[in-house]
Amino acid sequence: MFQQARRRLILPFVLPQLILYTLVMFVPLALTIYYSFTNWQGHGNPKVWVGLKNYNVLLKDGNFHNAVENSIRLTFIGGLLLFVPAMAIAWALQQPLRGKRFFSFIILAPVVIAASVAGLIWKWIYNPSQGLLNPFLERIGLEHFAVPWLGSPRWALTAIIVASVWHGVGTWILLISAGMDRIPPDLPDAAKLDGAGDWQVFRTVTIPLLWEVLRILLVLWIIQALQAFTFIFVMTGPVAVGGPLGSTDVMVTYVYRIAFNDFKWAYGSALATAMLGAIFLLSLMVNRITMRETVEY
Amino acid sequence: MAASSGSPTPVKGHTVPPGTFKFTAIYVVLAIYCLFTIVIFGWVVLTSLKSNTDILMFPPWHLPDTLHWSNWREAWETGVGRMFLNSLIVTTMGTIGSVTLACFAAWPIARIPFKLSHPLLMFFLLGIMIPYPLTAIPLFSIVEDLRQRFDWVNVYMILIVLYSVGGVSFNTFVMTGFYKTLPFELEEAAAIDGASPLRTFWQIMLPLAKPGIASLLILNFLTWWNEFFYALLFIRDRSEYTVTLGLTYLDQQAVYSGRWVGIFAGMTLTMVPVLIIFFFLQRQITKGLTVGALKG
Repeated sequence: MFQQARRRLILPFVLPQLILYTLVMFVPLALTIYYSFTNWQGHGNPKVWVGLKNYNVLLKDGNFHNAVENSIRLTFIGGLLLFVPAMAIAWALQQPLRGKRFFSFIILAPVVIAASVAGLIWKWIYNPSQGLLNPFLERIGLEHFAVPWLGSPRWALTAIIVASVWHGVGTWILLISAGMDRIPPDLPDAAKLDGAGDWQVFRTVTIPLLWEVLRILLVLWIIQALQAFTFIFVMTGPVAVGGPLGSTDVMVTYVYRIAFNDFKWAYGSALATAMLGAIFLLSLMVNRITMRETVEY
Repeated sequence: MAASSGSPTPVKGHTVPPGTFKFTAIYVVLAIYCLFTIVIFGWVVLTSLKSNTDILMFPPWHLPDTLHWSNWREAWETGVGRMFLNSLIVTTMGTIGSVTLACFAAWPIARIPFKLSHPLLMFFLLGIMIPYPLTAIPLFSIVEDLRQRFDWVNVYMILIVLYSVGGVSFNTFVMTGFYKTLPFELEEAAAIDGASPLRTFWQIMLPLAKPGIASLLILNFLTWWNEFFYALLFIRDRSEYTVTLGLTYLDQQAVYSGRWVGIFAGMTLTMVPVLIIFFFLQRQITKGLTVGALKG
């Protein structure tokens, strides 16, 4: 009786979300895969089935390879620049400190600023003549290192990574801290009583107990990093998105240019579909590599 | 409030040997990192108060003779105000839309045993795996069609629908988890007392789920306030610009015209209110950011 009356509510409760979600996510998803087998050149043009042609083009497309390479570079360098300091700061914030609320406020403050605004701020920081960075380097005698950051094919991607890490690191510190909070305090305490130092406790107790959390965060990072767009668009665009010389061109910026500057919608769809494959494969791989016997606690 | 250096004193039961190297090192590193962020924010605000000639003076951190507060008013009146309003409209509506959908859809999945509940949940969660560029081309073309066919379709509606659906996976995940933690006896007791299931949901479940809903509202608001890709794709008219898109436009203008004050005033005006809100809601926002992220 009780459940029967409730069952009548299932449909009206679930249906609105189900319909909207299917229409806005899955219909377009299916259409993208379908378009990738056609030769569609944008709105109002005819669509003709061409089979795997777009995928053959994609395999030989040097610009796409470059974009994939840059995406992987961004994921890797960004991951290092993100996780090492995030772990260190999360650990530091676990210690009995004064002014913790102040520290976490400042560390998290960039997170609440829009990514595009943070990107713009850093674009100006890197400005060779009036930015904050180069005049500062000159002042402290490092004028040698004062390169035009965003104008240099060698440094542009790293410069963008630094900006986006500054913006996002707070979230990861927060998530790692939440993971550390769940470690029962008697475990590290016991290790300390046995005479282990801070580094030893961190390496042999904290990291193994945190491993599951770190794995999830790593996969999350990869999924997110392979979809990087806003920072690159804002800091190199809107005219030369992905520049200089394609050195900051990643998968999404390339798809964006092909689809919405050149209006090659069929090819853009093939690229986007390939991107899904790449993300899926890479996160699966990392999931495998980081698989370890987990410690139950 | 800031203890930037010096010896830490014992806090809450922990006795810390004063002046240990470890603690000094932690304070110094944290202080340097925080100083770095403060300098960046400070520089943006300071520059926004300079005149256009002052900005060109070297070094960029020098203090101007007079602070031009009128820069802010000018930026607000020449576009930033409008952008704020646009952002506020789409963000608020999109947030309400996405959280409402999930509040309803997650309840039967979490609380009523039926055959399809698990597959349904999995289907809703699948969205997390789908990269947004993968749906962009068909969405763009569909929206284009709708715009040509019906004049009443406007960019606000498009963004509100996209934002409402964009939150489905995450919100359903969090709400399902939250509903599951509520005791089952409550609903049974209400049913025995003669309350209809709808009334039980409305008067017992939803009020109990308030903390979860509040976290989601904050998190969704933050996400959609900062959204860039859909705004870039669908907004065309300058009067429709949201804050995130409008600032990139202001930036372009500043680069071409050499009047840099405008963009710095714009960045300050969008940054400062958010930081003030964050200052007062730090605990809630922090909780919102962690919610659901580490479940299971």
